[in-house]
This record gives sequence, structure tokens and C-alpha cells, in this order.
Amino acid sequence: MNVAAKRELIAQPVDVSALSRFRHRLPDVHARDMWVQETCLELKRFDLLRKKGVDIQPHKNSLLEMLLSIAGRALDDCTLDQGYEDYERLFGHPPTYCWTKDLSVLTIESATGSSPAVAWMRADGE
Amino acid sequence: MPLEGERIFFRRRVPDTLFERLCSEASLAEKRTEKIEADTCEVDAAGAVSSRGSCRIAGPRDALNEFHHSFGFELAADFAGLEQDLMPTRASFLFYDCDDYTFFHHDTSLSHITIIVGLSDGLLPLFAYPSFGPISDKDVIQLNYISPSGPLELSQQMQERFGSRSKAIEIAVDKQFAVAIKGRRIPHARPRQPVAGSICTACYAFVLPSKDWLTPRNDAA
Repeated sequence: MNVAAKRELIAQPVDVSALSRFRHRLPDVHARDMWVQETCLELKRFDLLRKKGVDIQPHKNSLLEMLLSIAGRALDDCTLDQGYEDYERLFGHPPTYCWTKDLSVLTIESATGSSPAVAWMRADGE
Repeated sequence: MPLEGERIFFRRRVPDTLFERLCSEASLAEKRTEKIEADTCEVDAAGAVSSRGSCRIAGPRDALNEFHHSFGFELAADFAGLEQDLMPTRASFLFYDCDDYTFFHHDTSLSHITIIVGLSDGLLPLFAYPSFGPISDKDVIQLNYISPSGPLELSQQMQERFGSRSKAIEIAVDKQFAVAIKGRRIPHARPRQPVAGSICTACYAFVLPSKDWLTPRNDAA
């Protein structure tokens, strides 16, 4: 994919209606806005990877899986592990909590969730 | 090392009306804060390094969300120079009580650009370490063994161990000013506050970061 194609893909607006429904499905906790925005970003990364032919899929019950489902996007028969290395190479870190963490776990950990130095509560990983 | 001609930070005054709204929201937010505190340094699965620190935190409401998507976004985009693929990610109010601090760290993988707004007087400058960036986990962990007991000692101890790489740049975070930093690329620290103070932060991430933003990792001893 050339630079112009990537730019075009990134610039495409996210489905506002799906995003709104996604937001309303989330509990009203400190980190809710962060979850919505960071999942929105990860959706764009998901699309980028798929355009590049990478087979990757978020874990079940993760934020990204939830948004894809609400947007009526079909999920393929593949796993996160299959595209894990491609994700890491392209974006400089492993797939974030949006791909990996169950919403119920995130909710328990959400209290301190919107600091930039947040690794305190491990918003990014296990 | 910083790239040639690289800007370490960018500062802009927040308009009066928006700033007043942020302060009002911060006053309300302070009633529902959560304490975050850590006395050990850890590396998480995503390569983010948690530093030691303590402060209280609260999530955003209308005013900070508006700042995040308007004034803060424009500042971040101007600073980054790559507006197209920058997206708002997280925002928060942070309250530092007397002696609270955030030790040496770099921001999470979805905080390439971090905007910090001073909401009160008496905030000590942020210390940024551009010669470390992008930093490895190993360096951050080593740095987190240093005992922070004040801004001067922080610099002296780091210099003993890391020489010229430890040279800090002090970035004033004055009341009503928004400061943009490369939170993920350039490690930074907030020394122990001699008096209570508050800030708000707004973070932005590149959908597709360029190579300059990819952080060395997994080389911790």
C-alpha cells in the first residue's frame, strides 16, 4: 500500500452511529472516553492491517471486537496471534488492551485509566 | 539523541474562557479522584514502563473533552507537524499533593504527544531528557532505582550514573499555559511538589507512527 492509500484509509471517518452505540454500551467510568477514542484508533489500525493482507482479529469480548460487532463488520476465522508480529512491527508495540482485554477486566481496572503514565494500572497489557 | 532541529516542547496560552471552564471542571473532578501510587518500576506487556510516583487522578468531562478535541488537538498537530494521522486518545486531571511526584517515565504507546496544562500556581517545571529518547526499558528501570528527594538531587544522581545523557531540560508548566511534549519519545519526570498543584493532560497518538517514534524495548537486563 502506498503512502497516499494509507493516508486515505486513515482519513476515512469512523461510523459515528456505531461509535455512539458502542459508547452507550460501556460503563460510566473514568476511562470511558479513553476507551472509545483508543478503540477508534485501533479500528483504523485494524483496517490498515487488513488492507495489507494481515490476518488478525481482536480477542473475544475485547473493546475492538465489540465495536466491530456493533458496526456489523464480519469477523474472519483467524486469531490475534496470527497478526501479532505484523502489528508490533508496524506500530512499535504489541496490540493494546483494546485488542486483548475483556471489558469486565478493564472495568475493574478502570479507576486510574486515563493518565499518560498509566502503566501504573496497565492499560496497555496484561 | 534528539533529531537535528527537533523541537523538545511547544507552549501556547489557553484562552481565558476555555481555561476557566477547565478550572471549574477540575474543582468538581477533585471530589471524585482516585489515588494512584507505585513504589516500584515495572515494564508491561506493551513496553510501557511504569515509573514510581503518586498523585490523584480523575477522568475528563465536557470542558476537558472539548479541549482534547479542539485547542489541544490543534496544538498537538502543530507540534507534530503531521496532522493527518494524529488522533485524540486519553485525557485526565491530575492532582499533586505536597510531596507527590511522577518519577522518570515515558508515556504509554498511545500517547505519542502529550499536552499538559497548568491549572494552578506553584507547579515545579517538568524535567525532560531528550538525550535518552527514544529510551530503552533497561534505562528506565535503572533510572527508577535512583531515589528522588528533590529536583536538584534528581539531576545530580542521574548525572553520576548516566553522564551527559542525563542532562535535563526544565519545561515550565505555568498556570493557563498548554505545553506539548513528545511524551512517548522523550522521557520525563515531575519532581516532588513542594506545594499542592494540579494539571490536566490530553494525549494523542499516530495511527501509523513513523520510525522515529518506535521505541526500543525488550532489552531490560
